[in-house]
Amino acid sequence: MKKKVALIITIILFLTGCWDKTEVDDLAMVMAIGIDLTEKGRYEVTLQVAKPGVFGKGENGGAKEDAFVTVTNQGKTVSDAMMQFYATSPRRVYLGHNKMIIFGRRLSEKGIKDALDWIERVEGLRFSNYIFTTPNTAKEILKINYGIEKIPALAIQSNIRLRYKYIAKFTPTMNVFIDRLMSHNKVSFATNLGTEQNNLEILGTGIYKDGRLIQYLNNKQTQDIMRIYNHVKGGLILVPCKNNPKNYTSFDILDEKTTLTPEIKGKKITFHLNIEANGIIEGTQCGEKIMTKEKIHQLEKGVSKIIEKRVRSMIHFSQKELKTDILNYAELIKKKEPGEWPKFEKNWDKVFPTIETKIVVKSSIKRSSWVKDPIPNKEKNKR
Amino acid sequence: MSKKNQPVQLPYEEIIKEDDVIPKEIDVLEKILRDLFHNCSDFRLKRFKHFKSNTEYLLAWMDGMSDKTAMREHVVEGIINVEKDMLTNSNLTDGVIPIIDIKREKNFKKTIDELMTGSPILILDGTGEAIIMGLIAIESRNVTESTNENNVRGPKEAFTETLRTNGALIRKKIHTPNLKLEEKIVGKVTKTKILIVYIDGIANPSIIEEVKNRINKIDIDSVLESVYIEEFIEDNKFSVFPQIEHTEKPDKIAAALLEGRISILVDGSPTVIIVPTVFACFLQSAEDYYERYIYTSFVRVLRFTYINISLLFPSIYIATTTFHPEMIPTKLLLTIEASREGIPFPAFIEALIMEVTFEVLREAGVRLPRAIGQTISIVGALVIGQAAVQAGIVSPAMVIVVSTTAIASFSIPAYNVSFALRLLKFPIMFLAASLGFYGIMSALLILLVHLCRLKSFGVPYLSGFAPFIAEEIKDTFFRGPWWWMYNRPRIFQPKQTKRQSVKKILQNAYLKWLGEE
Amino acid sequence: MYGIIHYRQLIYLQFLVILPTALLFLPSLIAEQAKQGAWVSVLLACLIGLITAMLILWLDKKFPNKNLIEINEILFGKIGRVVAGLLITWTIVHTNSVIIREFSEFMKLSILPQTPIWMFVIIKLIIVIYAVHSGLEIIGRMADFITPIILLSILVFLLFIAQNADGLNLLPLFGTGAKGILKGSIIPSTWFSEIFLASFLLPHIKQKNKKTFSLIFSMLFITVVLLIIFTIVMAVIGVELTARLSLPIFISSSLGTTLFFEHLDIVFVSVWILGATIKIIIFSYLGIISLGQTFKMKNEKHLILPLCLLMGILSISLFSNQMDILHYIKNTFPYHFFIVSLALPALSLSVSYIRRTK
Repeated sequence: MKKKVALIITIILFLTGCWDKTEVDDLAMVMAIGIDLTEKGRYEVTLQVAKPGVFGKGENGGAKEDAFVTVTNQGKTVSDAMMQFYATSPRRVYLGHNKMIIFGRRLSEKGIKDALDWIERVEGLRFSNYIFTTPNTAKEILKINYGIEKIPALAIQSNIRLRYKYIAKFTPTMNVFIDRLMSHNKVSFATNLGTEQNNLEILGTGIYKDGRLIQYLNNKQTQDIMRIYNHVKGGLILVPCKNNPKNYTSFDILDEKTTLTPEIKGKKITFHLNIEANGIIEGTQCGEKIMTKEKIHQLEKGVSKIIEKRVRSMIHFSQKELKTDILNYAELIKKKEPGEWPKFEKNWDKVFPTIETKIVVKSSIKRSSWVKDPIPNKEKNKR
Repeated sequence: MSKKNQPVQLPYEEIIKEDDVIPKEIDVLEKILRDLFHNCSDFRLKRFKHFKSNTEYLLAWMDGMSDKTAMREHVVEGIINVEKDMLTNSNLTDGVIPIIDIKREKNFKKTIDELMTGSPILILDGTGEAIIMGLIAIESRNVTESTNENNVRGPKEAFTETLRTNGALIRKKIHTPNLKLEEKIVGKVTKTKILIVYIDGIANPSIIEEVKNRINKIDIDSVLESVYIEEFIEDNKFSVFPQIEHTEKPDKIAAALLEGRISILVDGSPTVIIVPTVFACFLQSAEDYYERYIYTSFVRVLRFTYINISLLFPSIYIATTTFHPEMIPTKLLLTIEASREGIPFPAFIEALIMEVTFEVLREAGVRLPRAIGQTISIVGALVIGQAAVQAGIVSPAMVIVVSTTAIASFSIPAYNVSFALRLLKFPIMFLAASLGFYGIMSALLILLVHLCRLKSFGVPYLSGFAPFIAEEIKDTFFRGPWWWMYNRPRIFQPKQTKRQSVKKILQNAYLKWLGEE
Repeated sequence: MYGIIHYRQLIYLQFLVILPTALLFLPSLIAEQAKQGAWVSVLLACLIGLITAMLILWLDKKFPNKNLIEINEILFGKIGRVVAGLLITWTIVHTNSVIIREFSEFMKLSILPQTPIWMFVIIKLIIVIYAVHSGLEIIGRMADFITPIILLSILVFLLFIAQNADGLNLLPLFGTGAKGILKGSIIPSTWFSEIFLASFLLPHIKQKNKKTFSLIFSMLFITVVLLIIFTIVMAVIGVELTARLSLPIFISSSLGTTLFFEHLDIVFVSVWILGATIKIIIFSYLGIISLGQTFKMKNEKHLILPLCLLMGILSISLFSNQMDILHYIKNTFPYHFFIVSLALPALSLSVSYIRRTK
């Protein structure tokens, strides 16, 4: 009996096929996906695929040779276009290591929800993918060789991770992007990639409303909007000198904290935006001593003023020009004042532009880096 | 009794029955003995005559096993001077022959058995009784340094092939009359003596009884090594895992006895086995207890890693590269992909080739004479390391995997466990190649059920881990300092558990730190 | 088949019975109804679990060392035994088939999309047969070995994904309000009321005085672990996404970026397999035991092969697709299960008081 059971088990084990088995060298590793819409309304999918065998063999692998290839196909839907790859590729198209998804302009303007649905469902694609948009076509972006890294997708990924740490957490991963799209205001952001002289450039942010691209923001504006979202980690603020407005003192933000709280009195909504920015002085062109209590205070005030101005103009832009709640106010009321929310839910679009925001910025200079004062100017030496 | 179940019987047992006594006439006796030892060139028989009483007597011994000088000086010369009436068996044993180890025996078969162990026998005409003298002088190996279990610190002596010496080596370490060395004879033909050694009052009596029962049930013609006994008395005879620990170091045996375990010594074997044994025992080496505990604890933790590596590393490599490449960091995966470019075999076959090559090399290296062994290792290094990679048969990543596995498997102190793990590696690799991580986890689960089922003399094999015993962490995962080991391990269910009466050592240390000692 | 287990092993067994599948399926199912109020739903469900545990403990006090089927025999005679026995057996066997199917579907979805379902079922059944044949003592030991590994992995897993957590996702604290919370608590209650299976394990516990402690403690322990995990998962991927995804915890496990390894989901799945297998083993074991008790069989080992085969066939044939399973879990399963887990012990207890049976 025991022998028979053992035999049956062995047979079962030995007969098991390897349904999911693929050797590594049979994979076509997709590093980035670009999705465009052609003029005829067909989906055009571009894949950036790592070229096998270029990695690892450092010495004899051709230094001039690109380590990746881009392939493009069209179809009625995204999966239809993908099917073309499956049909023609000698290797299994493998999305497990995909780093990012780029939406082309035409697709973004028409709406990306259908493409997103494919992205969510497709096997192997992880939710940790970054979402990008571009004013060009995604195909163009994916073709650029970035130089430092062998594979551009990896270069962009590393760049984004560095930005997370030092500038702002402004490139969303897939889950964040989708989560924002599902909030009440249906506004989501994607980082805007562009080209300049055959080089990659981060242009800022594209704002999606209900899956459609409605506006581009430049890098500065991106910083401001992320400030409202409490995602800013660093950045530079230039404070004009008193003696000469064309010269600046650079204030480098080391850490920043934003709190945004709604206050509701009857039908009037007020938002309190508190920003605390700490930083150091990275350089001054003013040519005067700055390490006095007064000067520091003055400088801090200047920084606060600039931040406040920028944030206020951003809020104005959102409320008055765009007339879209890109500031996430609706969600905040929903979360922090759940009892009051039903009052505003229906006519939110009318309520939103009337909301008053009280901004309090507190910035402080913690250190002045290695030197206390700048090198004195010549005129002063003469004295 | 059916023919199948009849015990082993040799021709001499038909001549001399179990209860036969020694014949009184010396002529008859001589004839029987000559017949019995026909063609035994080492058998010596000599008839002497005591002239004072005109009595003949017979001296028989095995050449090369008995001390001939002592026989001449004490036996033959002693008898010559005996007065006429004084020549009786009782007188001879009571002092005429100046030998301490001397006794009388009437049973013929027992006499022959004694003769075969090397004791000379002396038989007076007409008495029908033999005098057995313990003048055994067999050439044997001296106590030397242990060769298979090396250590830097701690005792280095090892057991020899002589049972009595081995018993003495243990006795040398534990000076108590409670140390019992019970003798038993196993093996119908070889008549091998074995010793069951335990400390009365510490070892669990029911386990001692169980050991004796199991040994009594053994019915085999020969016992040449302790593994014969081991395979008869282990609980699960179909498992790949060794369920009985063995060692050649007396200090290890002494430690085991003090934990309430029982060891079995077999004559002619320098390897001593210890029961009951749990899996954790195989992760402990004797030196763990002779080095400082902090370092040894670190080594213990390392060993758990080694075990996992030697069992799973190739399987994990196969599973990740062929089923779940998303687990590997992108750049590493790209490197692996590049290194596998052009390799014709799937990862599983590649691993199989390398693993089998390695096993063959290891086996060849162990058995061959040392001079040729070196050649093998050079050839092996070339085959595994260089040529296979350059020829494009195996990827460099696989070489790293296989060699890491091999190193890890050698760092387990008990090599019989590493045999088991290396053997199990193959089916797990197969499952990993067909079902990826799901296959690995399934294999591990089956292995876990198996290990949980195993028992060694009533002690669960995974004791300490499953069932988890919190108190034993100090000797399973780590090696606690000696002053912390208040009790003997509860795993082995000792009769008496207390080891030290001093407790509160940490508390005392704290008081000392406060200066309030 | 029987054996004696330590009370710690009982706690572990309860933990492994409830946690693995709860971890996987509950976040989405609760969040769908209760949104951010999921934690209240879990607490409510824990209350149901505690009530079940109290019923079982009460019964155990009244009829020491008797399981639910034997109690029913004392109360209602032979018919009571057979009816209760068959009811319990069918519930356990059916639930187990669902679990095996869920398990296989998850494996297919997450790591081996091409491999057919029957492959998972067969391999699982081989392990189950081997383990069940070994008996309760060995299952207890396996739980002893596996639970610390699982707890440790959960801890590491949480540490890795928690860096992406955003506390704002957890607001408002009560989500959609009382109605949603109540609705959301029905399904987790089923999971928690699985503790009634302890009725079959309690007679075999070594430390008789620890019965109450072990049941109540395991209940609270599971609740705490689930709450922590739910909270962190919701904070990481947001409530809306949690409700929309079919297996949110799996998705969130792929988000953790660590020093070296990029996607922890495979590790997560591997550890999960350990826990889920123990769950299936316990259910199979109890199904076999309860069927054996129903017909007073002397050697339950005869039942292992046929019953396991039945469960295998059921698990493959009961549902045609993933939607079916979800529909069943949402709409039918709770009411089906409550009959046995809550109603039956309550009935037995009240009858025993009415009749004043000793």
